[in-house]
Amino acid sequence: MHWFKYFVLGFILCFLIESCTVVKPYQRVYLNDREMQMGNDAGKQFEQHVQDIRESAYPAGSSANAGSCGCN
Amino acid sequence: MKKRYILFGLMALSQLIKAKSAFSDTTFQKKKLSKTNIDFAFSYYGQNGNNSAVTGGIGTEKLSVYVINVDVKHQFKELNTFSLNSGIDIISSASTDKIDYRVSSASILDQRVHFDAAYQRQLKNKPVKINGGLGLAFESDYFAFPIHLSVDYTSPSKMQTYQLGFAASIDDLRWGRGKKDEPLTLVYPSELRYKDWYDTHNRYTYQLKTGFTQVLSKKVIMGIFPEFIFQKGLLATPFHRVYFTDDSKRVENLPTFRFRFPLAIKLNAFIDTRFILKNQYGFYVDNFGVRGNSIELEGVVKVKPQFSLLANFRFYHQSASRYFKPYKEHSIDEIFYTSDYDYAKYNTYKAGVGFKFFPINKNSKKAMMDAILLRYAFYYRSNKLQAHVVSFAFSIATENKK
Repeated sequence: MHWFKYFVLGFILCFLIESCTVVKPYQRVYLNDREMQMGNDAGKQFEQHVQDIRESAYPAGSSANAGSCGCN
Repeated sequence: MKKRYILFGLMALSQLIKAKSAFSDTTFQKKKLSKTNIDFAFSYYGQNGNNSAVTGGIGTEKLSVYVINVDVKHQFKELNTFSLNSGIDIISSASTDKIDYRVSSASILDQRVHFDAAYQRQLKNKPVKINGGLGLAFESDYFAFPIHLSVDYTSPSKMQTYQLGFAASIDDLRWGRGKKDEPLTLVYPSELRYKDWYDTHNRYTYQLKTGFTQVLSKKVIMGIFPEFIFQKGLLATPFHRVYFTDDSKRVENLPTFRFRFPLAIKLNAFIDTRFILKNQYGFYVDNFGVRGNSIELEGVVKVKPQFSLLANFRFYHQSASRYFKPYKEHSIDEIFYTSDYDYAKYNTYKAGVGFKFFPINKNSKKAMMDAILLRYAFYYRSNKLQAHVVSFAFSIATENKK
C-alpha cells in the first residue's frame, strides 16, 4: 500500500501548486454551472446520509454533522 | 475672432450644464434585492439483510424509511441569509421489533423529527462569509442538540476558497421522551434489563471541518476536505445484543471515546460542452481499527441546457473494527465487543441514475420553479445487505425588489 500513499500525496501536491492561469470572470461559464459545484443536491445528500449510517466511515466534505441518528 | 471663441465657449458650457442636469434628474434608484428559496425533498430508503445487531448479528434487517424535508433560505439586505431546515423521517424497522421479542406483531413505527436554523453573513467589501446555526433532533431512542459555526474565504482572484468549521452535538440516548407513562431511561433488550450496563446516557461529538478548493482551468476544479471528529460518552447502542462462545449474552460494549479522521478529495471536470465528470475519493480511519477507502464517479450529460441525465457508481472497502466478531464468536474475556455488521469487513457497491430539470422562467415577478430532481440508487453490501434509495426534490425561488 506504500505506492498508494505516494499516489495520494502526489495528488494532493498537485493542488498545492497554484494554477498558472487565472480564469477571468467572463471565462467562468463552465465553472459556474450548477453541476460543477462541490456541494451536493438533496438526493445526493440523502444517499450520503445512508452511507453514514450503514458504514462505519463518515463522509467528509458533506453538509451533515457526525453524531446521532437512529435507523437500526 | 474673439466673438467666435466666446460663442463656442457658451455653446460648450450650455451642453455641459444640460448633461449634468440630465444626470441629476435620472430616475435610477438603487434597489435592494431579497431572494427566497424553498426546497422540498421526499426520499425513500428500503433495506433488507440478515445480520441484525439487535439479535446479535443474525436475523432480519428489514427497514423502511420515508423522509420529508423542507429547506427555506431567505437572503435579505444583500449580505444576510437566514435558513431554516425541518424534516420528519418515518421509520419501520423489523429488528427494533425484536428488542422486546413481541411475537407476530407488525414492525414498529418510529419517527425522527429535526429542526435546524442558521444565519450567514457576508462581510461588507470582503470575500468572507460567516455561518452559524443550531438545531434539535429527536427520535424514540435519542435526543440531539447540534450547533455549528463556520467561516468561508474566497481569494480575490476567485481561484481558491478556504473553509473552516466547527460542529458539536450533545445526544441523549434515553427512550421515553414526551411520553407521560414511561420514565426516561436507556432501553436494553428485554431479557437483559436486570442491571444498568452503562454509566452514562449521553454522547458528545466534536467535529473540525476544513476545506480547500482550487480552480485548475476554465473547466476543472478540485477540492480537498479533511475533517477530524472526536466522540466521547456512550458510543455503543444499548439495545444491541452480543452472543459469546459460551452461549451467554450481554449488551454491546464499546470504548467511551473515538477519534475519526475522514478525508475527501473531489475533482469536477467539464468535458467538451455537455458532459461533466465528477470524481471523488474518500479515506477514513479511526481508533476502533476501521479503515475505509471509497471511489465514486458520476457522469452528467446536459441533454439540453435545462435538462440533465446522470449516472453514478461508488465502490467502498472497509476493514473490520478490532471489536467486531460475528454471532457467538466473542470470548467472554473481551472487554469491548459488538456484532453490529456496520463495523465488519466488507465491500459496498452503489449504482444510481437520475435526471435534473431546470425550468426557464420568463416571469421573474412571481415565485418560479427553480429545479426538479429525481434520483435512484441501488446499494449492495458484500454481507448480503441490499437497499434501494429514491429521492425526489424540487425547489421554488422568489425574488423581491424593494
